[in-house]
Amino acid sequence: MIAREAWRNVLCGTSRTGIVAAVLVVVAVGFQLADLLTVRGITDRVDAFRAAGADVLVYSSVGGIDPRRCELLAAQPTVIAAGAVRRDPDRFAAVLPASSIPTYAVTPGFPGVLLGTAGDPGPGVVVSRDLADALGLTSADTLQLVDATAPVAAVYDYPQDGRATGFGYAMLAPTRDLAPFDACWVREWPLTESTAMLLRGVGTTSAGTADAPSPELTQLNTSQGRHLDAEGLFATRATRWAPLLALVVAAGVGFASTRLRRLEIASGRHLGVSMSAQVLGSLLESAAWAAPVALAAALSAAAVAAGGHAGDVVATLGLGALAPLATIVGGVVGGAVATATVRERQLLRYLKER
Amino acid sequence: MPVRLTAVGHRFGGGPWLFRDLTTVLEPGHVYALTGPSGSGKSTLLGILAGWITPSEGGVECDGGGRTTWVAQHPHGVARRAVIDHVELPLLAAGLQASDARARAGDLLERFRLTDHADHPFSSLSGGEAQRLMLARGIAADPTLLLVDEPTAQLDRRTAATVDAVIGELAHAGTVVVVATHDAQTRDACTDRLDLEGLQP
Ligand SMILES: Nc1ncnc2c1ncn2[C@@H]1O[C@H](COP(=O)(O)OP(=O)(O)OP(=O)(O)O)[C@@H](O)[C@H]1O
Ligand SMILES: [Mg+2]
Repeated sequence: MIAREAWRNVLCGTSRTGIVAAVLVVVAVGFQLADLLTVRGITDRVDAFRAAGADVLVYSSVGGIDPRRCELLAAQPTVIAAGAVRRDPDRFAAVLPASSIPTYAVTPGFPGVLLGTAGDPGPGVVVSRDLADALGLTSADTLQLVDATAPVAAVYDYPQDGRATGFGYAMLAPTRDLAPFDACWVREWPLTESTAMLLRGVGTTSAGTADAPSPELTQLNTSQGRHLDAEGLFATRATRWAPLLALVVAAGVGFASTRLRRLEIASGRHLGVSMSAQVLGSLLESAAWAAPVALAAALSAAAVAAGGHAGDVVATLGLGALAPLATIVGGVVGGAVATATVRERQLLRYLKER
Repeated sequence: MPVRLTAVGHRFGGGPWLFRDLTTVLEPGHVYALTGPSGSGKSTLLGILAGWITPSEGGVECDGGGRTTWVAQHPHGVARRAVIDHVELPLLAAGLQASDARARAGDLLERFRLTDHADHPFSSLSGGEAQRLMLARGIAADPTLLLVDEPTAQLDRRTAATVDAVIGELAHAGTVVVVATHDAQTRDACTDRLDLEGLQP
């Protein structure tokens, strides 16, 4: 009987399902998108920071880097790749014998720092995009030098976006010799103080001769700022309150829209309908607007998730569910509270207020 | 259950007495016309019978308690719900099966001459029809005390007559009906009279 009454109220428009659904869809999706897009803004900043190589730390000490200690940094949980680098004599390509190729000897872990991936790219040399383009190479080709040939294991991007110069047109030749190197590079996310400290300890004990420049720790690209505290930005974002606001606003909407029916509710109570039956009816009527709210919110969260990283889909959908759930809870509770607080004794007052 | 009034009198605060020394017994199955000039305290006495106002003196006893239903001067309902739904609601609340409630509501609509409007929305009713629906709904609630305040005061004489014509249908076993009115025709449609005139000290 309660369900049938609720259904009739929805059908004939007494419950104002359409307008309540429209308002609460705006509330749910509005607060949801506000938060999801704020979070997307943070991940975009992280992406830009990392794409620029601002997550690469460079510890330079000419002839003073221990390659084994440098490579060992890759064992840190936050470190993506680590490797040492040393300037070698220039080489010359068979097709362009007149132009020199700046060449670096690197430890096996080093290409990963530039490629952004862990591990050894395989046998052969690693060349920059500009060099590959100049020689018409791709990563499956063989590089013909005037005095040797070498397979191209990988091609790395090194745009001129503010990062340290010297590697834009260059070739990396992996080596296993353990002679001292000039610099140790580490790609890490998120950047940690502990790795920076360990990085300062990769010098050889014999390093530090009087004429060598003193060692320094720099960021490969400082154009994005020194630090990006993504977790802090996430934890302190203003829109973290969005679900709470959605709860409060929806509770207000649910309360107000039901309060408009106080005369009907008081009159029903006067005619013998119990408060609990009316509250149950209010909950059932809420389902009629809750369904479109949930559907709209699911679609908008899916749309946002589709535009983001594949790995973030679950987190995006989870975060995107909060404000709509809060909206539904708020609206349902607001309506139920409004129903429960109507007093039969106020019937005459409600009549006069009409 | 009869309602007994014993030396009931009332005044608001330190104001003048509206009426005093009202002693009577109201019997179920009767429809009492509660009359008196405007301001004589008709609505106030209905409030006292409803238990919403405590009389300044005297007492009201309603053996066995039970429900009191109030039919207000201005008809009110759910604009978009069908007329018959309004009558069904108290029947369903009392625990009747849906089919029984519908059948009984149909009977009541017939008695109050609303059969043709059963499936129309409440908002489509004229003032007289809406007032008759309020009376039918009041009876459907099966109260021990049905209080009707000025059912014809808002209506023109012709429309009021359609309401007066069904006042007799309010006579209902087990229900004391009191209709406050200052309309002579409405008064005459009732079975009994309860006059406040002359009860002012
Ligand atoms: N709550 C109240 N407080 C103070 N005075 C009141 C209150 N309610 C009614 N009165 C006064 O009591 C008197 C009787 O009012 P009541 O409404 O009972 O009269 P009535 O007989 O129903 O009149 P009418 O025919 O105009 O409806 C009026 O003078 C009114 O102003
Ligand atoms: Mg009155």
